[in-house]
Amino acid sequence: MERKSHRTKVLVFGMAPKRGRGRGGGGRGRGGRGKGRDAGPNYPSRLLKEIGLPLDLNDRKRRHSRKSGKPADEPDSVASDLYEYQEGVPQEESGKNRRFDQVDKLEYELPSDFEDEEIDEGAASGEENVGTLDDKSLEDDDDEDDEGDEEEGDQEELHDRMLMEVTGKANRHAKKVKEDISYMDDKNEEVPITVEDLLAPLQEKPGFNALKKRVRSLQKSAAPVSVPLPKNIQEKIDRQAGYEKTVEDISKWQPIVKRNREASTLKFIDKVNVALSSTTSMVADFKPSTAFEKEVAALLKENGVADPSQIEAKESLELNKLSVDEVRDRQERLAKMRNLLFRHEERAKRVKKIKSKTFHRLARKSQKTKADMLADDPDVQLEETMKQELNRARERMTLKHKNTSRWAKRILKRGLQQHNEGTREAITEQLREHALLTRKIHSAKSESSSSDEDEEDDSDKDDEPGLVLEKPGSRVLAKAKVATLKALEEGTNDTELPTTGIFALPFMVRAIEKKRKEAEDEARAVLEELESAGADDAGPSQETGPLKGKLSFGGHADKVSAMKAIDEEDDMVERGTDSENSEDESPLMGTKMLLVTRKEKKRKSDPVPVNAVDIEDVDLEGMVSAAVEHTTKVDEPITIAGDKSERTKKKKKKKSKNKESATRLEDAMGVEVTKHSVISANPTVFGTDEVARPETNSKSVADESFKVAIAGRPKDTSHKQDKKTVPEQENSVEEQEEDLDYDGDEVIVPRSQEDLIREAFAGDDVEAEFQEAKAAAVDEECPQEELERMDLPGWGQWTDIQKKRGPPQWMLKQQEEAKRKKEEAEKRRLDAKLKHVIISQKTDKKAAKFLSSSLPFPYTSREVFEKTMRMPLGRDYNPTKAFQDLTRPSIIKRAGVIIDPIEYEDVGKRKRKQERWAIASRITQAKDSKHLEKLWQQFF
Amino acid sequence: PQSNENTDTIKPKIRKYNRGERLSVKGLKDKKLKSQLKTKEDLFEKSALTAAKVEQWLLPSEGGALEADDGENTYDYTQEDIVKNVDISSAHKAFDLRLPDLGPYTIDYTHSGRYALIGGRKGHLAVIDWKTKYLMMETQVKETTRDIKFLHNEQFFAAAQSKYIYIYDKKGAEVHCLKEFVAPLKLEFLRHHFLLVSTNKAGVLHYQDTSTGQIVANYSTRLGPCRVLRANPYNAVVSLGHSNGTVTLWTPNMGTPLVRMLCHRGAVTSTAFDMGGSYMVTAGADARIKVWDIRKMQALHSYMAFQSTKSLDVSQKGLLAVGSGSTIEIWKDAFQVKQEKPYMKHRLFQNSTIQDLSFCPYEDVVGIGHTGGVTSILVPGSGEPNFDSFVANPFQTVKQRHEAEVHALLDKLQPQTIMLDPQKFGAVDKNPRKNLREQEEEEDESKKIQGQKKAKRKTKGRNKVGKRMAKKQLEAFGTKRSIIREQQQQQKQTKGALVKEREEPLPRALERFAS
Repeated sequence: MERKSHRTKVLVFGMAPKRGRGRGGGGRGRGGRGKGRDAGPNYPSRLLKEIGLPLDLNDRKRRHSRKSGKPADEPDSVASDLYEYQEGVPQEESGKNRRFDQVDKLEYELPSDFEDEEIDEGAASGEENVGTLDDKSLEDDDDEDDEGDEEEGDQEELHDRMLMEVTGKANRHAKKVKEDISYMDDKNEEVPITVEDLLAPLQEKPGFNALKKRVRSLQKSAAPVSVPLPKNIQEKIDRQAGYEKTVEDISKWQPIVKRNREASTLKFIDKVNVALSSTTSMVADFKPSTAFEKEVAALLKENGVADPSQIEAKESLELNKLSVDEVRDRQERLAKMRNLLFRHEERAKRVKKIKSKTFHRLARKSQKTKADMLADDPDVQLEETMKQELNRARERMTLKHKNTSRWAKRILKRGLQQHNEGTREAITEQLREHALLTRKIHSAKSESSSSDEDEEDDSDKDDEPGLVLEKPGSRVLAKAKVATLKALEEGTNDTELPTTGIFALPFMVRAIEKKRKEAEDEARAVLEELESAGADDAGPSQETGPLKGKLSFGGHADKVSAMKAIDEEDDMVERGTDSENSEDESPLMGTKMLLVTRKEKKRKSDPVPVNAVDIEDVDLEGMVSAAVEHTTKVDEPITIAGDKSERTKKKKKKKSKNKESATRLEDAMGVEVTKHSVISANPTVFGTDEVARPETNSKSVADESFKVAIAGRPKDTSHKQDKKTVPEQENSVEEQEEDLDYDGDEVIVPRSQEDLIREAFAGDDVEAEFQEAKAAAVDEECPQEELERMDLPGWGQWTDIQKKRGPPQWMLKQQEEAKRKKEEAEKRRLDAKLKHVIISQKTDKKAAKFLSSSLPFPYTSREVFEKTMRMPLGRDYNPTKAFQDLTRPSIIKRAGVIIDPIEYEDVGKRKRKQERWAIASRITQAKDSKHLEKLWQQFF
Repeated sequence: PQSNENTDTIKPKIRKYNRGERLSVKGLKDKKLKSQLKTKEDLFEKSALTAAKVEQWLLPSEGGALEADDGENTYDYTQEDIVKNVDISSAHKAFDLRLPDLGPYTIDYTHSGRYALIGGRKGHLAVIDWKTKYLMMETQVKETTRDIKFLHNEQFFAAAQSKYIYIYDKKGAEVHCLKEFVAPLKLEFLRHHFLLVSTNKAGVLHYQDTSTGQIVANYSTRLGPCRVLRANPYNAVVSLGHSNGTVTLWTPNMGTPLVRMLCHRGAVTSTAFDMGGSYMVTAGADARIKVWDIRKMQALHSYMAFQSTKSLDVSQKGLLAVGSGSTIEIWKDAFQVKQEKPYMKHRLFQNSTIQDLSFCPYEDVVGIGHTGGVTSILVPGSGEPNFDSFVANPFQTVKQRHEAEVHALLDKLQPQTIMLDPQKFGAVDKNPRKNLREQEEEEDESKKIQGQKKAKRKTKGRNKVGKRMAKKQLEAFGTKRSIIREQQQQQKQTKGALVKEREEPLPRALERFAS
């Protein structure tokens, strides 16, 4: 590596328009001597002779040039000659017709520490040639100046050079050349001008001595000037340096350009300075000019209101004024207040100090009575009672006491006996509370209702098992007895049988009578038991009390489930009946508890104890009520009035384990059932309000059968009773059903709302229709590939064997492939997993024009492109500022505004400054010396 | 700590306005695109922040709500209780209009909630400024009127009458009779598209542009008379409920339903959509109410009703009103979570049966049309408390109304833009058909080719005797005819000159131009 420092001139932006002699494109071999350049080639004499030109053409040329002060062998222009061979100056070089750019010469300085490998290489290779090249250039001069130099000399020189290159030794001619130089110098400057000569005329001038001194010092230090580099290399270096410089020069614009390119908007608007004028500034600037204004100003000043602050001060003073009376009043009021407060405090302290609890209690009481006294008027009292009533109602609504909570259910499921005393007690307590609450309702209602209902209510009221627990007195038993007797009487009296309708048919009549008889028998049995119970009760009633309670709980869970089922039935009924009753209830959509009136509630509770009875026959009340129920005709709409045979059929089906067939049959059944039941029970479903309700007669009979069916249970199952344990009794409805089936007794099984609805709409079979539609849609949208019939009819079917083989393997494969493809397409559908949904896969042709058919250019992923469109840009969806920002054009310009060229400003300066600050802060925090050093380096 | 609090409250709002996650530009290679997207995202973020701040500081009103004391339930509170406890102006919003004679009423509010339109089945139509109780218009069309709907503002409304759909103006004057569509049953108006959608007894779905009058689409459902029609406010897709328990979703662009869902076992009696367009509620004759996630087309939960529901509606704040029989129940947050009990309950007077339900926008009020007239009850927390006067201005002046009408027309969306997922608008077509332009060009070419085919020269019958004779005569009279023509022209010219003379002379200054 070699360092060079030189001052050079650099051509920027291309080449000079004109080329001087010997500068030809850096071509070394071309016209190196310059001879024949202007005057055409130098022809051999034989050639001249041949073409008939005078032999002395060359000579003439020489002479001519000599005349014009040029070397002899530089031939003159042959323009006049016949033989016009002249290589004209290229157009771009001549620059005559300004078609090519005029390029300025700009001067640049290379940095002092400039270095370049390429150049070094060039220089290195050049060093060898320096001598020869120098020779050449010198000889060029020689040619020009030395008249006597002939071709021979040239040839000699060439020969020398060749020799030198071959042998590597400089021969005598080199010396000669040097001599030539000195000779030439002498010749050229015959009277050499020295610095002294130049200084001579200045001798008398002031400051001459100083000048002379400087010149001398210069002369002393003046070293011999090194030989200039060959031109091409020089130019290369110049270009290199020029390029560097230009890059540096241009790159300073880069941050500015970058900033402009990255800017979201460029503004080319005239900066207009709007003079801000506010009211305050206008007031401050105001000076009275007219006479009137001056007068006003003077007046204002005189009164001291010229300044707003003065006005304020005056006003506040005015406002602060208080009369003496006012002040006195205020003081008195304050004193009084203070006094009162003090006294009250004192009293409170005294009272607080008293440690007697009784005193405090009494004090509180007295306060309360005071409040009561206040609330003495009837309105307030009424409100109070209303409030209490509401509280009670709320208590009832919580269902907290009905053993329906999860906890209670769990405990009941496990069986009460397995729990400790505390739990049992808690449940008893709940039940007791429940009974209390429900009793209160009854009492409240009985007051308002008619006397007839009253009696019923009373009997109903006592049906509650909870009540039995509460007071298992003999009174209840007596009442039950009376009720049973009455029912029996009525039952025997009421021998009227329907004379028309289905129930008038002989077998139906028979059945009804049979039922009735059974019921009577049962009632009798109950009566007997009652009597015996009464006898028992007369004895150790205290002991049996709790025992009863305990045992009856087992039945309670059963009751709960049964109640639920019946609830649902009632709901259905309710929907059929008019909604008048529903006023005071709170139907809940979410839970299955729907519109159940109080009446229904009571009824609901009726069949429940029967279940209890069938488990423990200790709960006599329930049995009584059942008996009563079946004999008394309750005006209750029936839920399911399917006829007997149907029901029995159904049971049988249910028994069978094959679920599918069972459900299918059930569906078929459902249709039939709906004919009967739904029309009577839920006419609104079909929107046919006009459908008349079934006759009460048939209803009541059917109802009876229903009740009997339930009531009949205990009798049959009574023999099992001792086997059963408590947990077994809490069977699910299905289990009960099975049990009943086993007994061979037909029993109506309360079904859920869902079942009923399914039955109600079973005829429509919408689901199957929908599935069909879906299949059709899928087939349409994912069609199976149409296979070409590749085989010829009859081909390969000549023999039986061939026929047996069936279609060829490849055909089967094709078919399979097609099938598989179709299945895959079906799987890909959006609604593949949605049973009740058909989503059309058809493309929306009209909407397709709002989709882009391919990804627009700079984007490479669909997700990115689509995500950029997630934000709406409209005015409705963005705040005004944001909307403006989002929709601002990339260039804002105003008409007529002149756009100036970019001005240079150091964009990076600020950034650099910030960086340095950051480093400085890091330096202050740095602990490691190495790190610190590094940071310092970065800093500078 | 205060600033922290602020950020905590503002964060969910920002998220709401950001409409999805920020686009990460990490994987992008294109530097230019990267920087562009970054600046764009920054702007979006800024916009979201400003919007959130605006909401926090400038829209401070919060929706009301009923709060029950311990042991009480909100549905225990009757309208009387509520009316007692609200301010006077709100109390006036609850009222009964007893109109027992002209039979079950349908009700509709304008978009701003200022005006109510009621239509009795027996032809009684009225527009009311319902807050001031000022009767704007009342008319008796003397025809069965099955449904009514306001058009783009209170100036016009459509009524589905026994035979045709009629359009009336604010004075009750009949403006149009849409005779193209017979026996309409239900109406719906798509505000942004200016489309009047209707269904009829033949089960045909009809789209008509009310700004141009063009019939946009006419599709047969082939599922019998359709009495249930409701538009999804989010994407303007229309849902129809059919008697076979299916609900179908339609756009005017497709002749077949986009989606068919089997929702109920009985007939579908009503459908409703929430404002965000993610949930649909359907009610059927099977006394069930089902909530559907219509993004996934799945049923979320199903509620039992005690009667088959007649009408459903969802409020701006997502309360669901269920009207069945003479009871209306309001359910709160019924979409995301299955609720145990209703938010509110109300029973109509005299057991009148509900026909139609409609929440009033920007008000805590639900309007009920029923057999006994119209009832308006208070439902705290149902309406959007902050209204944007650029979107819907209840206090609009006449000038503003004019402006809004023009703007609405300028911003009108084309019917083709209705699609199930409006987010897909402008997205890349996943399976692009042929380039649309190419297709068009092809069509043009084929048309050209057809045009080039010249019709065959039919010279049949030219050589008939009669024709030949006629030709001869024509030639004979040809010369005569020309003479007659010349004469006629001359006559005309003279007449014209006369007329010209009769005309008033030109002003002097203009005379020089006349010559």
